[in-house]
Amino acid sequence: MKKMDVIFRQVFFKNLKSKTWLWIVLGPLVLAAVFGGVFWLMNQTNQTTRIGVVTSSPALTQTFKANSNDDQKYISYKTPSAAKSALAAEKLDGVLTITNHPTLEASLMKRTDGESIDRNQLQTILAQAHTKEVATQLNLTPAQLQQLFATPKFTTNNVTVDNGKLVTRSAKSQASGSAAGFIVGLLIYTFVISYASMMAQEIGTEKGSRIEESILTAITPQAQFFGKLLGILALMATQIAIYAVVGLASMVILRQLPSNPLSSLIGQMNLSSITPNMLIFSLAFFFVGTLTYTVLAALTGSLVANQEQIGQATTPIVMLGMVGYFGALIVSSGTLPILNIASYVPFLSTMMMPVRLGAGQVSALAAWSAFGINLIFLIIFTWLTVKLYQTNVLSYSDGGILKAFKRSLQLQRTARKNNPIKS
Amino acid sequence: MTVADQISFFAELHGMKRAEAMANLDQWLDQFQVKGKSSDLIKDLSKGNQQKVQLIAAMIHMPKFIILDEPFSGLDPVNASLLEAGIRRLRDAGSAIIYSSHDMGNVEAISDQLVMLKNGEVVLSGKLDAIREQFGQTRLHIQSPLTQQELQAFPGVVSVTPQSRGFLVKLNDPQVGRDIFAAATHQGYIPEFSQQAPSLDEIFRMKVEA
Repeated sequence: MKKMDVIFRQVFFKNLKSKTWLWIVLGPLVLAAVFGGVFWLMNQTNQTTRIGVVTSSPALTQTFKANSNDDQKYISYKTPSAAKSALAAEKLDGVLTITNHPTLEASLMKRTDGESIDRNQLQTILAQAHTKEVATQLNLTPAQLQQLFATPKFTTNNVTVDNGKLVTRSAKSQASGSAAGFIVGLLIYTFVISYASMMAQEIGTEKGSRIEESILTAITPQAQFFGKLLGILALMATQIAIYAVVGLASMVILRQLPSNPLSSLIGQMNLSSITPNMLIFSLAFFFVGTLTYTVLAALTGSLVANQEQIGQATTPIVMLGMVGYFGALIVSSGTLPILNIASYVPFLSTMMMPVRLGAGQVSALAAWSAFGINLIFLIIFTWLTVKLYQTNVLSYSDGGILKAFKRSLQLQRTARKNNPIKS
Repeated sequence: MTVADQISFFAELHGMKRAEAMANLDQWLDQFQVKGKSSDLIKDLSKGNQQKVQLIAAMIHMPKFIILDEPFSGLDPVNASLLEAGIRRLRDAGSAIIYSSHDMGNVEAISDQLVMLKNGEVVLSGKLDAIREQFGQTRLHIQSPLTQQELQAFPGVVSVTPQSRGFLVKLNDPQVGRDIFAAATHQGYIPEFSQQAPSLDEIFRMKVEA
């Protein structure tokens, strides 16, 4: 245990002090800050779109003015030339010229460098005006007009199946839950790639520089393996803790500030959709999933013969991670039978299941079942990897890591034949 | 990693306390004349100094048994003698050291026993003096009035090679040395007469070329 502790402390403190780890931790924070800043800037500098309306119909002028708001404002002009002069003087972003006869027609002249114009709103107002005019011509009363354009009521209810019962989710919860699940999936993906690569690099570098033999004179391969795994786990936990502190501090600070785009965005999210159960599940899945990838990285890292092969060792991890990540992307917008099955498969499940839980596609029972499968797989996979690691870590093959793996299996069989009684 | 971190890591792995390793570190760095501070990164050191740091990491915890793989490889004579001193220090403290080398000079300088392998087979093994004695004292270093032709004329002389001073005479029978001694000292004092077994270097060549 004491020697495993030496390995653990070496892995933990060496990486904690390294610039690489600092970037792994700060990278997502910097990205989030940049996106937040850009979002803030975009919303702060948003100007009201001004549209000059030229029409001979007072009723139409009133209708447009009544639809003015902070986003789009309508100003009436008597003549097209007056409106165009204002456009040229950059007092307007567009000029809407409407003629009533013979039919209602409108043309929009907009500045290419002006604020963006909500054309849907213009078309809606014009369509309503046209309808009203035609109704008058047809001698329809306002009540008859309303009856004519009444559409059947159409509502959507999001429900999840929980223990055979239907549980309603509000649209806000659905959006927030999906977003939270997606962010968790993305975080898991970045963690998996970072830490699994770190593990492969650790072992590959020691093996490639031939220092492994020196280390293994003092410690068993198993103790070294678990020491490294614990060191990586501690680094992950430290990063999570930093994010939790930064996240909470940011929320508190944003709420203290006067009204701003970011705090109103957070206000729009329904944070109650992120239940303690989901949080615990996400954390548990995160650790089990990332550990599974890290164990795989230890296996592939132990097969390298020189430092040039470290890239080969990280390739399987990156490939699997990408499949899981893309699966999570696809499943976030709707599921398919093959994706349902894939979301239970270890390695792929790591990213897909949190997304599915967030989107309300699976019940808590199904999600925890997937976790159970992953946990059992992790235990068995770790046991197998430790057995192979003992042989891999001291054997070198010039033919790449696949050949090294085959050789390792041969050595295992030979060792079992020569030493049938386990010592 | 820094020099201090690397060395203390190995020391701790072998059961030494970090504080003890750090207390002894400067002494070992001085002994091996490592150019650099304990706070320097290992990757920034020269290859030779990196080699020395690796040796210190292997030796600082005074192991009872140590295996060194070609430790003298690439070392100049000054650094080779520093390493020899380090190995002697371990030996005097009771450690057993096994090392591999192709340089017979340092093998002769510090080894008690040797094993020579050719194509995976043992061709020589035993204590150094005993191995050399196996071949008999057939090498004669001589500085005397005798000329090369006169030396060559003695029966049993295989070859006479001029040296910077005197000659190296190879004999097929150690007894011939007595005859040469008598002839060489006939007129009195001579500066050098040294009859020895072949050097390990020569024995190595004989075995490899056999």
